[in-house]
Amino acid sequence: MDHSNVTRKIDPRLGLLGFLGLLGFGGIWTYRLDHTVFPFLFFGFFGFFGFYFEGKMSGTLMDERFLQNKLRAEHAAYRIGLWIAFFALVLTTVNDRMWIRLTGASDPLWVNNGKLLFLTVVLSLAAALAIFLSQYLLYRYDHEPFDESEF
Amino acid sequence: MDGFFCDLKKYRLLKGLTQEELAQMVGVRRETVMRLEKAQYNPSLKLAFDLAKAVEAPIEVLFRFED
Amino acid sequence: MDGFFCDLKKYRLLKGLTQEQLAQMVGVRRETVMRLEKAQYNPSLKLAFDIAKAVEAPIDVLFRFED
Repeated sequence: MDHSNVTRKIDPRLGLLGFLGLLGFGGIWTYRLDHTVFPFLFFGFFGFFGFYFEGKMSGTLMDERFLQNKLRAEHAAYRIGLWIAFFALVLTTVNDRMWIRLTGASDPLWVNNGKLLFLTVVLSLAAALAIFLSQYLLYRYDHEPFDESEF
Repeated sequence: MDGFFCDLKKYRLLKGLTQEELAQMVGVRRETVMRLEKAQYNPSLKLAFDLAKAVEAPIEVLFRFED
Repeated sequence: MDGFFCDLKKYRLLKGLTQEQLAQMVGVRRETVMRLEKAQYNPSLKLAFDIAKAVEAPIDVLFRFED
Protein backbone atom coordinates (compact mmCIF):
# COMPACT_ATOMS: atom_id res chain seq x y z
CA MET A 1 0.00 0.00 0.00
CA ASP A 2 1.30 3.44 -0.87
CA HIS A 3 1.60 5.60 2.23
CA SER A 4 2.83 8.75 0.52
CA ASN A 5 -0.38 9.65 -1.33
CA VAL A 6 -1.83 12.98 -0.39
CA THR A 7 -4.75 14.80 -2.04
CA ARG A 8 -3.88 17.86 -4.12
CA LYS A 9 -3.91 21.28 -2.51
CA ILE A 10 -6.75 23.52 -3.57
CA ASP A 11 -8.15 26.70 -2.07
CA PRO A 12 -11.75 26.16 -0.95
CA ARG A 13 -12.52 29.62 -2.34
CA LEU A 14 -12.20 28.11 -5.82
CA GLY A 15 -15.69 26.83 -5.06
CA LEU A 16 -16.88 30.33 -5.89
CA LEU A 17 -16.19 29.42 -9.54
CA GLY A 18 -19.42 27.45 -9.24
CA PHE A 19 -21.26 30.71 -9.75
CA LEU A 20 -19.98 30.61 -13.36
CA GLY A 21 -22.84 28.17 -13.78
CA LEU A 22 -25.15 31.19 -13.79
CA LEU A 23 -23.73 31.92 -17.26
CA GLY A 24 -25.96 29.08 -18.39
CA PHE A 25 -28.96 31.39 -18.06
CA GLY A 26 -27.42 33.38 -20.93
CA GLY A 27 -28.76 30.60 -23.09
CA ILE A 28 -32.28 31.90 -22.57
CA TRP A 29 -31.29 35.10 -24.35
CA THR A 30 -29.38 33.43 -27.21
CA TYR A 31 -32.12 30.86 -27.72
CA ARG A 32 -34.71 33.59 -28.11
CA LEU A 33 -32.39 35.41 -30.47
CA ASP A 34 -31.67 32.64 -32.99
CA HIS A 35 -32.24 29.29 -31.24
CA THR A 36 -28.57 29.02 -30.21
CA VAL A 37 -28.29 26.36 -27.54
CA PHE A 38 -24.62 26.18 -26.56
CA PRO A 39 -24.58 28.74 -23.68
CA PHE A 40 -26.74 26.32 -21.71
CA LEU A 41 -23.63 24.14 -21.50
CA PHE A 42 -22.30 26.65 -18.96
CA PHE A 43 -24.68 25.13 -16.41
CA GLY A 44 -21.95 22.50 -16.16
CA PHE A 45 -19.83 25.04 -14.27
CA PHE A 46 -22.13 24.55 -11.28
CA GLY A 47 -19.99 21.45 -10.71
CA PHE A 48 -17.17 23.76 -9.60
CA PHE A 49 -19.00 24.22 -6.30
CA GLY A 50 -17.36 20.86 -5.53
CA PHE A 51 -14.00 22.68 -5.28
CA TYR A 52 -15.21 24.04 -1.96
CA PHE A 53 -15.27 20.54 -0.45
CA GLU A 54 -12.18 19.39 -2.31
CA GLY A 55 -10.40 22.42 -0.87
CA LYS A 56 -11.48 21.51 2.62
CA MET A 57 -9.88 18.11 2.09
CA SER A 58 -6.65 19.55 0.69
CA GLY A 59 -3.47 17.69 1.57
CA THR A 60 -5.37 14.79 3.15
CA LEU A 61 -3.41 11.56 3.49
CA MET A 62 -5.29 9.05 1.35
CA ASP A 63 -5.37 6.09 3.73
CA GLU A 64 -7.55 3.04 3.18
CA ARG A 65 -10.54 4.63 4.90
CA PHE A 66 -10.31 7.68 2.61
CA LEU A 67 -10.09 5.52 -0.50
CA GLN A 68 -13.08 3.44 0.60
CA ASN A 69 -15.12 6.59 1.16
CA LYS A 70 -13.99 7.96 -2.20
CA LEU A 71 -15.21 4.86 -4.00
CA ARG A 72 -18.54 5.04 -2.17
CA ALA A 73 -18.99 8.73 -2.95
CA GLU A 74 -18.07 8.50 -6.62
CA HIS A 75 -20.25 5.47 -7.10
CA ALA A 76 -23.29 7.23 -5.65
CA ALA A 77 -22.60 10.51 -7.47
CA TYR A 78 -22.05 9.07 -10.94
CA ARG A 79 -24.97 6.70 -10.60
CA ILE A 80 -27.34 9.58 -9.86
CA GLY A 81 -25.90 11.63 -12.74
CA LEU A 82 -26.17 8.78 -15.19
CA TRP A 83 -29.77 7.97 -14.31
CA ILE A 84 -30.81 11.60 -14.73
CA ALA A 85 -29.06 11.68 -18.11
CA PHE A 86 -30.74 8.48 -19.19
CA PHE A 87 -34.24 9.62 -18.20
CA ALA A 88 -33.67 12.88 -20.06
CA LEU A 89 -32.77 10.86 -23.13
CA VAL A 90 -35.90 8.73 -22.76
CA LEU A 91 -38.07 11.84 -22.56
CA THR A 92 -36.68 13.20 -25.83
CA THR A 93 -37.47 10.02 -27.74
CA VAL A 94 -41.23 10.68 -27.70
CA ASN A 95 -42.75 11.64 -31.05
CA ASP A 96 -43.18 15.26 -32.06
CA ARG A 97 -46.92 15.45 -31.34
CA MET A 98 -46.40 14.14 -27.82
CA TRP A 99 -43.49 16.53 -27.33
CA ILE A 100 -45.64 19.49 -28.34
CA ARG A 101 -48.38 18.39 -25.96
CA LEU A 102 -45.87 17.93 -23.12
CA THR A 103 -44.01 21.21 -23.57
CA GLY A 104 -46.61 23.44 -25.14
CA ALA A 105 -44.14 24.26 -27.92
CA SER A 106 -45.81 26.59 -30.36
CA ASP A 107 -43.69 26.08 -33.48
CA PRO A 108 -43.47 22.44 -34.71
CA LEU A 109 -40.51 23.51 -36.88
CA TRP A 110 -38.29 23.81 -33.83
CA VAL A 111 -39.29 20.63 -32.01
CA ASN A 112 -35.92 18.93 -32.50
CA ASN A 113 -34.13 22.11 -31.49
CA GLY A 114 -36.27 22.17 -28.36
CA LYS A 115 -35.26 18.61 -27.61
CA LEU A 116 -31.62 19.59 -28.04
CA LEU A 117 -32.16 22.50 -25.68
CA PHE A 118 -33.74 20.21 -23.12
CA LEU A 119 -30.95 17.64 -23.38
CA THR A 120 -28.25 20.31 -23.17
CA VAL A 121 -29.72 21.77 -20.02
CA VAL A 122 -30.37 18.48 -18.27
CA LEU A 123 -27.08 16.82 -19.25
CA SER A 124 -25.10 19.88 -18.18
CA LEU A 125 -26.88 19.93 -14.84
CA ALA A 126 -26.45 16.18 -14.44
CA ALA A 127 -22.70 16.45 -15.10
CA ALA A 128 -22.47 19.36 -12.66
CA LEU A 129 -24.40 17.40 -10.04
CA ALA A 130 -22.21 14.32 -10.43
CA ILE A 131 -19.00 16.36 -10.17
CA PHE A 132 -20.27 18.26 -7.15
CA LEU A 133 -21.72 15.22 -5.38
CA SER A 134 -18.55 13.16 -5.78
CA GLN A 135 -16.70 15.78 -3.70
CA TYR A 136 -19.54 16.63 -1.33
CA LEU A 137 -20.40 13.01 -0.50
CA LEU A 138 -16.73 12.16 -0.03
CA TYR A 139 -16.49 14.98 2.49
CA ARG A 140 -19.69 13.84 4.21
CA TYR A 141 -18.69 10.17 4.39
CA ASP A 142 -15.18 10.98 5.53
CA HIS A 143 -16.41 13.30 8.29
CA GLU A 144 -19.37 11.22 9.37
CA PRO A 145 -20.02 12.22 12.95
CA PHE A 146 -19.07 9.71 15.57
CA ASP A 147 -19.24 9.57 19.33
CA GLU A 148 -16.34 11.67 20.66
CA SER A 149 -17.44 11.68 24.29
CA GLU A 150 -14.13 10.32 25.58
CA PHE A 151 -11.97 12.88 23.82
CA MET B 1 -20.17 -1.41 14.28
CA ASP B 2 -22.07 -3.82 16.46
CA GLY B 3 -20.10 -6.39 18.42
CA PHE B 4 -16.74 -4.91 17.51
CA PHE B 5 -14.43 -4.09 20.39
CA CYS B 6 -11.05 -2.46 20.14
CA ASP B 7 -8.48 -2.17 22.92
CA LEU B 8 -6.07 -0.19 20.79
CA LYS B 9 -6.16 2.87 23.03
CA LYS B 10 -4.87 0.97 26.06
CA TYR B 11 -1.97 -0.60 24.21
CA ARG B 12 -1.12 2.65 22.43
CA LEU B 13 -0.86 4.43 25.78
CA LEU B 14 1.21 1.58 27.19
CA LYS B 15 3.69 2.24 24.39
CA GLY B 16 3.53 5.95 25.17
CA LEU B 17 2.37 6.86 21.68
CA THR B 18 0.01 9.66 20.69
CA GLN B 19 -2.72 9.02 18.13
CA GLU B 20 -0.76 11.15 15.68
CA GLU B 21 2.44 9.15 16.16
CA LEU B 22 0.67 5.82 15.80
CA ALA B 23 -1.15 7.07 12.70
CA GLN B 24 2.16 8.01 11.09
CA MET B 25 3.72 4.66 11.95
CA VAL B 26 1.02 2.74 10.11
CA GLY B 27 0.41 5.30 7.36
CA VAL B 28 -3.12 6.46 8.12
CA ARG B 29 -4.68 9.68 9.36
CA ARG B 30 -5.18 10.49 13.03
CA GLU B 31 -8.95 10.53 12.44
CA THR B 32 -8.75 6.92 11.28
CA VAL B 33 -6.96 5.94 14.50
CA MET B 34 -9.62 7.82 16.48
CA ARG B 35 -12.39 5.91 14.72
CA LEU B 36 -10.56 2.64 15.29
CA GLU B 37 -10.17 3.29 19.00
CA LYS B 38 -13.88 3.98 19.14
CA ALA B 39 -14.44 0.66 17.36
CA GLN B 40 -16.30 2.54 14.66
CA TYR B 41 -14.22 1.43 11.73
CA ASN B 42 -13.59 -2.07 10.38
CA PRO B 43 -9.98 -1.87 9.17
CA SER B 44 -8.34 -4.03 6.54
CA LEU B 45 -6.39 -7.02 7.81
CA LYS B 46 -3.17 -5.37 6.66
CA LEU B 47 -3.82 -2.25 8.71
CA ALA B 48 -4.78 -4.36 11.73
CA PHE B 49 -1.48 -6.26 11.45
CA ASP B 50 0.49 -3.03 11.10
CA LEU B 51 -1.22 -1.65 14.21
CA ALA B 52 -0.54 -4.83 16.18
CA LYS B 53 3.12 -4.60 15.21
CA ALA B 54 3.30 -0.91 16.09
CA VAL B 55 1.88 -1.32 19.60
CA GLU B 56 3.43 -4.76 20.04
CA ALA B 57 0.25 -6.54 21.05
CA PRO B 58 -1.35 -9.68 19.59
CA ILE B 59 -4.03 -8.94 17.05
CA GLU B 60 -6.64 -11.06 18.91
CA VAL B 61 -6.06 -8.98 22.00
CA LEU B 62 -6.37 -5.67 20.20
CA PHE B 63 -9.55 -6.52 18.34
CA ARG B 64 -12.56 -8.59 19.26
CA PHE B 65 -15.77 -9.43 17.41
CA GLU B 66 -18.70 -10.80 19.33
CA ASP B 67 -21.97 -12.07 17.91
CA MET C 1 -0.42 -8.09 -2.72
CA ASP C 2 3.28 -7.98 -1.93
CA GLY C 3 4.43 -9.60 1.29
CA PHE C 4 1.02 -11.08 2.08
CA PHE C 5 0.90 -14.80 2.81
CA CYS C 6 -2.18 -16.85 3.55
CA ASP C 7 -2.28 -20.38 4.90
CA LEU C 8 -6.05 -20.57 4.74
CA LYS C 9 -6.12 -23.47 2.27
CA LYS C 10 -4.24 -25.79 4.63
CA TYR C 11 -6.49 -25.04 7.61
CA ARG C 12 -9.64 -25.22 5.51
CA LEU C 13 -8.67 -28.70 4.30
CA LEU C 14 -7.81 -29.74 7.86
CA LYS C 15 -11.41 -28.89 8.79
CA GLY C 16 -12.60 -30.83 5.74
CA LEU C 17 -14.38 -27.81 4.26
CA THR C 18 -14.79 -26.96 0.59
CA GLN C 19 -14.26 -23.39 -0.58
CA GLU C 20 -18.01 -23.18 -1.16
CA GLN C 21 -18.83 -24.29 2.39
CA LEU C 22 -16.34 -21.92 3.97
CA ALA C 23 -17.64 -19.08 1.81
CA GLN C 24 -21.19 -19.74 3.02
CA MET C 25 -20.10 -19.91 6.66
CA VAL C 26 -18.57 -16.44 6.53
CA GLY C 27 -21.04 -14.90 4.08
CA VAL C 28 -18.86 -14.26 1.04
CA ARG C 29 -18.65 -15.69 -2.47
CA ARG C 30 -16.47 -18.67 -3.34
CA GLU C 31 -14.39 -16.40 -5.59
CA THR C 32 -13.51 -14.29 -2.55
CA VAL C 33 -12.25 -17.36 -0.70
CA MET C 34 -10.24 -18.34 -3.79
CA ARG C 35 -8.60 -14.95 -3.95
CA LEU C 36 -7.87 -15.02 -0.25
CA GLU C 37 -6.20 -18.42 -0.51
CA LYS C 38 -4.03 -17.04 -3.29
CA ALA C 39 -3.20 -14.06 -1.03
CA GLN C 40 -4.55 -11.71 -3.70
CA TYR C 41 -7.02 -9.89 -1.51
CA ASN C 42 -6.60 -7.83 1.65
CA PRO C 43 -9.77 -8.69 3.59
CA SER C 44 -11.44 -6.61 6.25
CA LEU C 45 -10.52 -7.46 9.82
CA LYS C 46 -14.06 -8.66 10.43
CA LEU C 47 -13.90 -11.13 7.56
CA ALA C 48 -10.48 -12.35 8.72
CA PHE C 49 -11.86 -12.96 12.22
CA ASP C 50 -14.90 -14.79 10.85
CA ILE C 51 -12.66 -17.03 8.78
CA ALA C 52 -10.32 -17.71 11.70
CA LYS C 53 -13.34 -18.74 13.75
CA ALA C 54 -14.69 -20.94 10.95
CA VAL C 55 -11.48 -22.90 10.46
CA GLU C 56 -10.56 -22.69 14.16
CA ALA C 57 -7.05 -21.33 13.65
CA PRO C 58 -5.40 -18.24 15.13
CA ILE C 59 -5.56 -15.26 12.87
CA ASP C 60 -1.82 -14.58 12.88
CA VAL C 61 -1.19 -18.17 11.84
CA LEU C 62 -3.65 -17.93 8.94
CA PHE C 63 -2.37 -14.61 7.66
CA ARG C 64 1.11 -13.14 7.53
CA PHE C 65 2.44 -9.82 6.28
CA GLU C 66 6.15 -9.44 5.65
CA ASP C 67 7.99 -6.27 4.67
